[in-house]
Amino acid sequence: MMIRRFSAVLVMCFTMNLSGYDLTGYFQNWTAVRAVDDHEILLSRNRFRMDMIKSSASGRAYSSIDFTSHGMGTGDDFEMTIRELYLDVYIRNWDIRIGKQQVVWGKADGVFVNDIVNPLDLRFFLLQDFEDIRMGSPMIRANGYFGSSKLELLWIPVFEPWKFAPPGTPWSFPEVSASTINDLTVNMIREDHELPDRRLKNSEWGLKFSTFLLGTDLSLLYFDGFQDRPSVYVKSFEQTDTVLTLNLIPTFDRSPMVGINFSKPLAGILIRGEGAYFRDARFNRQALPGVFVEKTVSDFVQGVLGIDLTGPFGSSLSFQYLKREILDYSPTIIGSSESETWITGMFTGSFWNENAAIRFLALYDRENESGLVQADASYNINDALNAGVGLVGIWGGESLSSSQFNFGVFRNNDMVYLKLTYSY
Amino acid sequence: MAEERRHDKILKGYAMKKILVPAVLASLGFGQMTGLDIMTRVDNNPEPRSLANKLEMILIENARGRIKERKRNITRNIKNYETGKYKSKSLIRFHSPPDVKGTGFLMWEYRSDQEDDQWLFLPALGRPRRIIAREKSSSFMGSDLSYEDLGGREIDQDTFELTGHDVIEGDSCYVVRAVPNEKGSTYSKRVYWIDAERWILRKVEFYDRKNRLFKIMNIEEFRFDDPYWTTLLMNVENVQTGHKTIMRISDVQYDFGIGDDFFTERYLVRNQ
Repeated sequence: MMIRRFSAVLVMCFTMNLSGYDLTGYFQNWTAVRAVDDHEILLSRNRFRMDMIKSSASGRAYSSIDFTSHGMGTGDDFEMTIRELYLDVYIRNWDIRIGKQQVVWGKADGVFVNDIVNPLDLRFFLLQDFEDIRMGSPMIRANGYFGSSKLELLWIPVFEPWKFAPPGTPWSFPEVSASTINDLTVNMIREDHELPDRRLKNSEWGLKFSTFLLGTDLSLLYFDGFQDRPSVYVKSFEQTDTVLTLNLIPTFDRSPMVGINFSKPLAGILIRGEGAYFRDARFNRQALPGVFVEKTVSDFVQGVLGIDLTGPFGSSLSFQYLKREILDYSPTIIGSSESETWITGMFTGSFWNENAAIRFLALYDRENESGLVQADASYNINDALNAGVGLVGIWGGESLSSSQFNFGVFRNNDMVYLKLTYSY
Repeated sequence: MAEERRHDKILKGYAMKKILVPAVLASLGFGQMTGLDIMTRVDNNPEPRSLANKLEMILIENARGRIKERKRNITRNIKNYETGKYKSKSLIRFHSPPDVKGTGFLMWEYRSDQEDDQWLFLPALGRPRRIIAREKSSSFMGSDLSYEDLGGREIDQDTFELTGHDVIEGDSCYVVRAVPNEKGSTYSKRVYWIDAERWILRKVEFYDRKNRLFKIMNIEEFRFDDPYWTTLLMNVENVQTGHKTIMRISDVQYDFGIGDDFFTERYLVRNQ
C-alpha cells in the first residue's frame, strides 16, 4: 500500500507542471549504534523530504512530505508522512492558514511548556531534530495583526495523541505489567488507547494574544484541549486468591491551559520565559483493593526561565530552568512526581567560515538524578552535502513513578551516530 | 644648443610640476581637508528612504591549492527614517544554500544608544525567535564580512587622519586612517580609500588588534543612480587565511514607498 502511494506521488511530481513551484528538501541517512554492550543498531533511518511552495501576494500553498524507511528502532519499515499541507490566504490584516500545520507556542528549546498545540513524535525519545519532533495537525489558524499586536485563533477539529515507539523496540517506554502487593500479584494489561469521539464537542481550540511592549515580546495564551499523555481506567478485572488481573484502557481527558511567555534582551543577554497552568489535569493513583487504579484530578503548573548569550566566532550559550508541579498531589499518584526540576544547557559554535559547526546539549532531571547529553559536530562538504557525527549519553534510574520524560528508562541506549544530508 | 634646450625643458618641466600640480591639488582641496572633513563629506552622501536589492555572495576557500566555492543568495529590504525613534528597519531573506533557504532576519535600529531589536526566523524552528546582537567579530553567513563590518559606523566612532593620496584605476583617492574610539572593536584601525571626485569608498584595509593587515575590501563596480551611488561588485579578502568573498548586488530599487508593516513578524514568517 505504501509503495503504491509513494509511486503515485512520484508519478504526480514528474507529470505535473512544476513551473512556478519552489521545490526543496533533502535526502538523509541517520544511523546510530549502541555505544556499549552488544553495539545494537538503534537507528537506521533513510529519509527523503520534499517541500513544495507556491507563493503569491494573496496567499501561499505549502506541502512537506517525508518518505522514510526505518531500518530498525520503531518497528515500522516504510512510511509516507504528510508533515504539513496547508493553504495561506491573506485578507487585509488577517493571515489564515488552513490545513495540516505545525504551530509553535513558546520560547523554550527542547522542552514543552506552552508548546502543546501539536502532538510529539517520541518514537526516538527526544533525539529527533526540533522540526521533526512536532507532528503537524489539521487545523484552521487565523492571525490578525493590529499594529504591534497579534491575535491568533486556532481550531483543531480532531485530537491526535503523542506517538510512541512500539513495545519491545529500543526506544519504547516500558510499562508496568506486574507488581506484588501484600502477597497479591497484580497483572496490568494495557489495551490500545481510546481516542475522544470525532465530534465537534471534542475539538480543541486556542487563543493567543502577542504584543511588543517596552522592548519585550509578550504573549498570553489559552488552549482548551486534551492532555497529551493518557490516564487509564479499569475496563475490567479478574481476581483469584493470589492474582489480580486488570485490563486498563488509556483515555485522554480535557485540561484547559492558560499561559504566558516573554522574551527580552537585557545588557547583552536574552531573557525568556514561559508559564502554563493546566486545570483539571488527570493522573492515575492507586486505589482501594477492588479497583486498583483510578483517575484523580489535580491542577498542574509548569514554567521555564532561560537566558541566551552570544560569544565570539558565532558561538552561543543558553541555559534553562524548568519546574513542574502537581498542585493537589497525593503520594498515591502513579507515574508522576509531585514536582520536577529540569536544568538544560546548550552550546553551539561555528568555525572555518561556517564550514563546520558543533553543538552540545545537556538535559538534567534533578529530582530523579537522571539526564541526557548530546554532542555533535557537522561539516559542510559543499553547499548541498553535510556530514555529521554525534554521541548521546543517558543516565538515571529506571523508576516509572517519576517524570514526564524518564531518561533512566533509556540509560542503556548510549549511542554514537552518523548523519549524512544532501539538501536540494 | 640642443643640450641647452633639453636642459631648459627639464627645468621648465620640473617647475611646472612644482607649481602646477600643487595648484591643481589645492583647487581640489587636497591641501586643506582633514581626514574628518573627508569622511564627513562621505557620510553626507544622500541616503535612500528605502532600498531593496539582491545580494549574491560567493565564498572562496583556498585550502592547500584546492578551491572550494560556496554561494549565498539574499534579498534585502531596508527603510531609513529621517526622524523618530527608529534609524532604520531591515528585513533580510536567505534563498540559498538549501539548508538556510527561507531564513529571515528582521532588525530595528534605534537612533538612540538603545540596542537593536533583532528577530530570526528559521523555517525549521517554525516561529520567529528574538535574538541578541551577534558578537561583532562573528562572520556574516560564513563570509569575510563580520557583523561589525555590516553594522555601519557613525562619524564620531573613529578618529580620522588623512595620510596620503593614491590612484585606483585612474581615479584620485584620499587615503584616510580611522582608529576606533571605542574599546572592543575587532580592528585596531581601518584605512579608507575615498574617491576624490565621487566621494565614495573604493577600498578599505582592515587591521587586527595586533596591527597586522587582516582583510582588504575592494569596490570594483559601482553605478550612479541619481542621487545615489550603488555598489555593484565588491570583494573582501582575508589576507591571513586566503579566504575570499565576492559580493554582487543586483535588482536595486530605491525609494519605492515600502510600509512600516513590512518590517514586522507578519512578513518575517511569510517566508516569501
